[in-house]
Amino acid sequence: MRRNVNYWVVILTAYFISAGNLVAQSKFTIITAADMQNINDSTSANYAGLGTLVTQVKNTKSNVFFVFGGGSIGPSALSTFDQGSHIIDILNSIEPDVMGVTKREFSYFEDELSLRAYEAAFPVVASNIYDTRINNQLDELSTNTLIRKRGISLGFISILHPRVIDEYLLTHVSITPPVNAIKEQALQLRQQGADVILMHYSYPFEFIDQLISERIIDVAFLSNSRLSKTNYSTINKNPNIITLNRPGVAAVTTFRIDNGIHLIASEYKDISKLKALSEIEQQITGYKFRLDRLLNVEIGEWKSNFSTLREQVRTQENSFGNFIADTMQEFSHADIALLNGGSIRGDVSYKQGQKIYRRTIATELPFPSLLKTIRVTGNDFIKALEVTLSEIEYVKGAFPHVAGVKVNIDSSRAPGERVIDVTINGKPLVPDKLYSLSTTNFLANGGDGLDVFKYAEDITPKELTPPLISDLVTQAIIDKRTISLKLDGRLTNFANNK
Amino acid sequence: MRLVQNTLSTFTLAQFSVIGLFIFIMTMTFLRLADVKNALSTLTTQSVPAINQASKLTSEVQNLVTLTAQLSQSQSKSFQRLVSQQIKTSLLSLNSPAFKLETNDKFLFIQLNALSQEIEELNNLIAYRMRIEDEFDAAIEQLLNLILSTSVAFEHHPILPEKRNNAANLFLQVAQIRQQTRIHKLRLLEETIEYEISQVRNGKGKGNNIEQIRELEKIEQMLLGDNGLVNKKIEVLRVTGRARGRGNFVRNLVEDLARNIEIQTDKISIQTLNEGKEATRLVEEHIQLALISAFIAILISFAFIYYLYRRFVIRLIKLTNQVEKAHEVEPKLLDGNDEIARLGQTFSEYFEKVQSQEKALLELSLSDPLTGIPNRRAFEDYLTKSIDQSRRFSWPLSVIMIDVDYFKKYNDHYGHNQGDECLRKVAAALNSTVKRSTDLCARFGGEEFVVLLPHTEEESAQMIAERLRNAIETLAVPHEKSQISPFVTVSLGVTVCHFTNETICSSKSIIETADKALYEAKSKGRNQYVFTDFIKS
Repeated sequence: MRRNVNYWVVILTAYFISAGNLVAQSKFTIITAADMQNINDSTSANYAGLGTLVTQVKNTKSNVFFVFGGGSIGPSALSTFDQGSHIIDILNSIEPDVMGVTKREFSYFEDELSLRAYEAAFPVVASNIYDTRINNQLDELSTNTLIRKRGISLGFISILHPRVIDEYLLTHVSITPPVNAIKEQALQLRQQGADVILMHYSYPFEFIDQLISERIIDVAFLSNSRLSKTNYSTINKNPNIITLNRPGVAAVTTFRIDNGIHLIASEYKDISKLKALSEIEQQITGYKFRLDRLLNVEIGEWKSNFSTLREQVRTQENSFGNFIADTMQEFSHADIALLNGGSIRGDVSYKQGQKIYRRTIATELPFPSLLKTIRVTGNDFIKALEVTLSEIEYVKGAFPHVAGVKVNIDSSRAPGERVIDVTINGKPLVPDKLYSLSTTNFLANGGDGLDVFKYAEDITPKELTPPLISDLVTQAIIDKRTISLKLDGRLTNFANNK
Repeated sequence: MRLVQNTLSTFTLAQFSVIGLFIFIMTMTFLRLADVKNALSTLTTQSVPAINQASKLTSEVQNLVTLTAQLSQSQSKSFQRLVSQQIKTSLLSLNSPAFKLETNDKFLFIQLNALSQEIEELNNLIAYRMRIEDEFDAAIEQLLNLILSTSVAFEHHPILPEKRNNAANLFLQVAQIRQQTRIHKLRLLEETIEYEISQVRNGKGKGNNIEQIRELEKIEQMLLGDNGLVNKKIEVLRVTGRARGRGNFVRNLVEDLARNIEIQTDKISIQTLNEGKEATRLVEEHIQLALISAFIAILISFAFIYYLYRRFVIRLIKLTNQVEKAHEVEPKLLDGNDEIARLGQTFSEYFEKVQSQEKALLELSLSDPLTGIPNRRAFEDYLTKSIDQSRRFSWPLSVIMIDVDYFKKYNDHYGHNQGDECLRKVAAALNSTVKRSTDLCARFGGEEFVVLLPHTEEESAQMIAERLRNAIETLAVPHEKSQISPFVTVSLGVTVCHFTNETICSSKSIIETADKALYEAKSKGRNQYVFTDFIKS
């Protein structure tokens, strides 16, 4: 009898163990993080902490997929110098299984992204994009990827919104319609044996819910640290959507496969609080050190209080914006200078007496914008102003900072009718007269909706290399040493008086 | 004195103003030339050398860009050493005093410093990369040989075909490690190798002895251990990527530097251009000024010449003309109040004097200016003398009065000039007919002539009268308006005075008597002579 019992115990134990194994095999965990572009900002970009998290989760769970949602190659001070190489290097140390591409990956344009993908230890995926020069996927990028762990294969897709082309002025790529791309890639992945289809995106498309309920995709991952809650809450209903909508957060989500993919647990961790993995910490420290060596050079001193807070530079006259525009005009001797608020990225406040370092300018103006001078009619300039002022309420980067002009507006009016009057060099604007206008190459090529500039005559002097705006500003500060900034009412919004 | 001051002062003023203008232009030219000289001097001693220097700097920096690119791509140690040495040289020269740009030296210096450090670190990284690449190459060679010998060992053993296959597969996978360029593919490869090894191990049965198991473990360790080939290769790939990243970084730094230098250069260029433009503008301005001044000077000179002309030359010419014509008209006083007017005045006065002297002279003279024969005065003088002489010697004295017939009509018809000519001819003819030296033919006045014949009797006198009449007729001077002849004729009146104690003829009475005879001749039809005895008064 005892022998029989022993026998049964063995068989049952074996069964339960194997069953447990089976059960264990149908669970998987996804770690997601994204938008960590500035290694000096430990609240949002604690890669070392992320490394710790990944190690921890991999030690406690099985079938762990570490998916990085991109948005990190730029813009940042160090990336100005190495176009995001350091981010890839750091990511290589924490080895995500895959990285999706969002619009910030294009901060240094398509070819640099290809180089970064080549350097990466993991596949870089963009599913609805192709290079118009070769009519194929961008070099080194993948359209989709299948990640195999012990028993589970995860198919990964990453989708871009078509407006990335305008926002980043991409000339060599084309975006295919998202839904078609998703369906096509998902089908391919299923045919290759994917158990789960994870779709990554950064723009709150409306069709996600539907795709999930139709089981075209199983899990969706939205990474957009700028997404305001109001914009999104109406859409996010489905539990299978992982959302990272503020910086410095990583999500650890566990699902089980049981006639469909079902959410078991979801945890949002504050990465900044996590203990740093020493190896990665060292790497990051090394980069920080090199960056400091480069950027901690003192170049001047602020003689005024001012701020470059995002809200402020995108909705009203800003003394730093004035300074940049003035510098542009001084260099080019154009009638007008125009800069978009979205170029100013510091999002900080400064006090009088604070020293200015190269780092300051590298942080405030991290984009490699070149100075370009064009000729436009007075009419075109007003049109341009209207375009840039049309989305003040949405705190958009197009908001104009000017020099050489005085503009009165009323933002309470409908978009397209907000300019009241414009004075250029003390005289009222003449609609048919041609004026010289200095701006960034981004805006001159039609960026931020400024189509009206696209076909304007380029009068940038050919014998000189166009300088970077950031270089001009740095040089101006070096020359003047102490910088007083002021608001002089060059852009007055009458809506504020109402 | 006032007159003298006037001309002198005007002349002086005009002269000085021209000279003054000249001096002004020369001074301005001199000053402007000095300005241009300064501008050019600045250009040659500062601006152009600065641009030169900046462009040298730029090309040196460009060189650095190329060198750093080469450094990143170094595949061999010797090449790396070579390039690294060249970079050191280049950095040294960039830091040399020859390349000091005026402004923001310190900033450039700091940039160069940071750059040097980065390049050094890049160098080290590349050296490290090459070292681990070498280590990897050596390790993989070793392993491949080991696998080969192991599988050979397997081959010589009676083993299952699957095992041999597994070994072959393993060999292939290991070889693939060398080829892999993507880390995540290496991870997949790692899993495959793990699987293959387990297959080789689990293919138990006869043939696997302890030694072979140990061999397999060794291989597994060499492949999959922490220091195994896979991880080594991953490290190589990471470091290669990092080196590339750093290379980009350095390249961007150098380009950053180049850009900053270029902005400086551009500033200098623009400044120089502006200086050049300014100098050109000054020169143009000056040329304009000079042209205008010259033009004004020319105008003033012309005005001056014109003034001289009007004030001096014209008036002198007028004066000269007047002097030349002075015998015809009253000399007009020259307008003006100065020396030339005085000159004109003096001339006038002199001229009047001359005229009166001429007149006096004329009056003193004994010749008739028109005909050249003796004049009335000469006749009267001679008559008086002849009367005296005749009285003394009681000679007869004859006088013939001659008048040209219809002379007024002749003058009216043929004009006064021809009238004069006619008189001349008449006088010449009369004179040549009177041959005796004691006889005198004179012009009595107008168209009247008189012939005095001392010691001549009545018959001779009449004969001579007839000769005289004939001589004129013979002249055949046409006279359309003569009522008696187609030619000029004369009428003559002859008289003789016998001087006795009782009879004394005065000049007056002789002339009167001759005149009467002439009158009679005229009444009798002209072109004839009439003799009348002398009538005692």
